[in-house]
Formats: sequence, C-alpha cells, structure tokens
Amino acid sequence: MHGIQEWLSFYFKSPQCAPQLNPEHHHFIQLMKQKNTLPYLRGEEHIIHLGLEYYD
Amino acid sequence: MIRKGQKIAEPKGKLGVLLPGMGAVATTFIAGVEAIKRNYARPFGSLTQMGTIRLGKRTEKRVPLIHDFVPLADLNNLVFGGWDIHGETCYETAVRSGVLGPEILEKVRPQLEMLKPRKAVFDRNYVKRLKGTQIKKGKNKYELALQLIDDINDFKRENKLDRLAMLWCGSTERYLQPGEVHSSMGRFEKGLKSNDPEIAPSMIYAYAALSMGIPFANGAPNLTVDIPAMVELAQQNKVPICGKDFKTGQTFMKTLIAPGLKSRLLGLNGWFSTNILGNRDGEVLDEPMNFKTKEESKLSVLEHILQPDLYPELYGHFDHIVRINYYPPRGDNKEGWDNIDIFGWLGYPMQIKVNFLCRDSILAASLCLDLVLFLDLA
Repeated sequence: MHGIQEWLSFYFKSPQCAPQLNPEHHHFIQLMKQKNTLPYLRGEEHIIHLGLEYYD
Repeated sequence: MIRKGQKIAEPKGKLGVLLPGMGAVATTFIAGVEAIKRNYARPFGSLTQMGTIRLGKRTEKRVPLIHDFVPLADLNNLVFGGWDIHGETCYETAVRSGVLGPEILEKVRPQLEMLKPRKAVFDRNYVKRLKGTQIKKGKNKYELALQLIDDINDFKRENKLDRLAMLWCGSTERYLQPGEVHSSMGRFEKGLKSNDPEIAPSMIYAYAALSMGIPFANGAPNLTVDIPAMVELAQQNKVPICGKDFKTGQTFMKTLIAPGLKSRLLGLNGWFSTNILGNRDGEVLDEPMNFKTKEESKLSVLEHILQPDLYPELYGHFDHIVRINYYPPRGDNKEGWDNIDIFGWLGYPMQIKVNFLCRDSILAASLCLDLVLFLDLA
C-alpha cells in the first residue's frame, strides 16, 4: 500500500485523507476503518454488525 | 489500491526505526520496547500487541490477536536510531525527562546508553524556544536533506537493516500554510535548493525518508507531509504516509465524547478546554506561532465529528476554545480540564466536566509502536 493511509487515522488529531474528503475524526469510525482494513488485507469477510442471521 | 487478500510478504529481518527528535516521547517508546522485549513490563495501550480482531460470525468465536492475524515485525527485530539537537544518550534524556522511573530505566540502561542521536537538522526560526547543541550545517536545505540520506544509509549499513520507518517525534514547528512551494515536488525541490522559508525542518526529514522509499508518520501537528508535493513523492516512490499529531490526551477524550453526544442528538453550546503541561512540548507551545499550529489541529476535531452543516440547530453555534499553559512543575504529567455545555429535550442546558490527569509520553509511546509496525505492514 502506498500514499495516504486513511486507515491509520485512529492515531492522529489531524488525519490525512484525499483532497476531496473530510478527515474522519470519529474515534469509533476510525477504529472500525482500521479493523476493516486488516481482514481486507487477509481476504476475510467484513463484519457489518447487522446480526439478523442469528434470528432466522 | 491493494487487492483484497493480496499476498503480504513476511516481515523478515530487521526493521530500523528512525526518530527525528529523541526526547521524552521517543525515549519512552524505546525504553518501553526494550523493557517489553525482556518481559519487564507489558505493552498496555498498544493495539498491535494486545488488540484482537473478530473474524466471521459471532458463533464462530474466531478472535485472534492482531499480531497473529497480520504479519507484523517482531519487537526483537526493531533497531532504533535518530537525530536530536542535544547530544545526550537516550538514557540521559530519559532520566532528564522524568517520565519513567528507575524501576524501568535501570533495567534497560545499557540499551539506552548505547543510543546517541545524530546531529539534527534544526532551525530556531521554526521552534523559537529551543536551543540545540548539535545541529547540521549545509549551504542549503537540499544539502541538509542529502546529509540525512547519508545518515540513513550509514544506519542501515551499520545495523544490517532490511527495512526502515520514520516517525517524527520532534517539536511542534511554527504555523505554516500550504503554499506555492508545497504544490508539486518540482517546486519543492527548487525550494530546498533556494532555502525557501516555507520549508520547515520536518519537511526535510520527510523528503529524505520518502525519497528513499521509507514510510513516514508525524507525531506533531506540523504541515510536513500534508502537502501535494509529499503526496506526489509518496505515490511516485510507492511509500505509505499518514496523518499528523498523535491523538493522546484531551483530543482523544474529545473524539470519544463528541460522537456520544451526537449519537443521542444532544446539542452543544460550547466546549472549553484548558491544559497545564510542563515538558519540552509545553515550553515550545508557549510560543504563539507554535501554539497556532497545535490549535488548528485541536480545533478541527469537533467541526468534523459534529457536522454543523447537517445539524445546524444542534451544532451550528458552539464556542470551542482550547488553551495550553506551560507550567513546569508538572513535567510530562499534563492535566486537562474540559467544560462542555450541552442541551437536550426542549433546549434545557446541562454540563459535563472532564478532568484528565494523564502522562503525555506514556500515551504517545504505544501509538509510536503501532504506527511503526502498521506502516511497515503497509
């Protein structure tokens, strides 16, 4: 991966992002962004926290 | 863009960690890693060392540790080096900084005594409150960048390193805005050669790193890589870069509380934040042009989380004030107070008070480790 790593926003007061975007400051969205990136890199499915499948 | 599930190379060999600015944060980070490697202490606060990640359905109960899930460099393979305007060893700096006590420092003293920073690129025009004792000399900023590149090559060769990452742990520089010289790498390189005053020392370090294909992260709010020229260089050399200014104390709290208020659609009339801080960071931020850089970084957080354009009745008119007061008796143990004036149902006002007694470098050190390992992964 190269260029701006938005998934590391979690660590910064001023996250860097693409010019057309606003930086993401919401701590838990930052965490989710990071925790989504790692499974993506490993080819795992994303967790979307819908949870309906447990009640079918 | 990287493809999903693309093969990731195993992090074999040694990873060199380059630290411009080897003060309280850097030495707390290094001493911590050396202590953790030897099982003298635990890496609390570090996602890469203690965090887990859920995979699959909740019923599958697959929750590996992050460092078992993605190939991250082992702490035993980290080798530290860097630059500072003072010629003390990392042990001397760590003792003077007063962050860690002898119960940790004496156990890793030999490792810290071996580490002496190289001469730094520094200019008091960007950090008025500091005076250095070992500073590089060069006829222009480009020549200083070449000297840094030589240092990095020496460090790599002497320690037989396979990969490198650079993390700015130096001071906050005076406020700079993106300008013409930052707009492209061609203009930036011309600016280096003509000593353009809009090119700060942190940019010279970042330029050296990115030119060599070394990822860069910035612990201070300096403009540094947040300019088109550096993004261009990072893309061209296929190097990862990320944000600026470690989110540690008061702003960390702010980004926890503000989303909570917004989630319940509680309105905000004002948020007053003040701090006392007695370390070198506090001293530097006592200078108005350096505080301005920090203030910009701290102020932007609430606007982006609360989205006043979408919720004008709730967040269209709040006062947000941030103060930092240099108060030497506290050293690295800063204290922050927040007064938050909120309103709820029918507009009735309420208040929240936060008093956070935190340790600046303790909170930053775990971030340093995570960033180095994740940048290396990237």
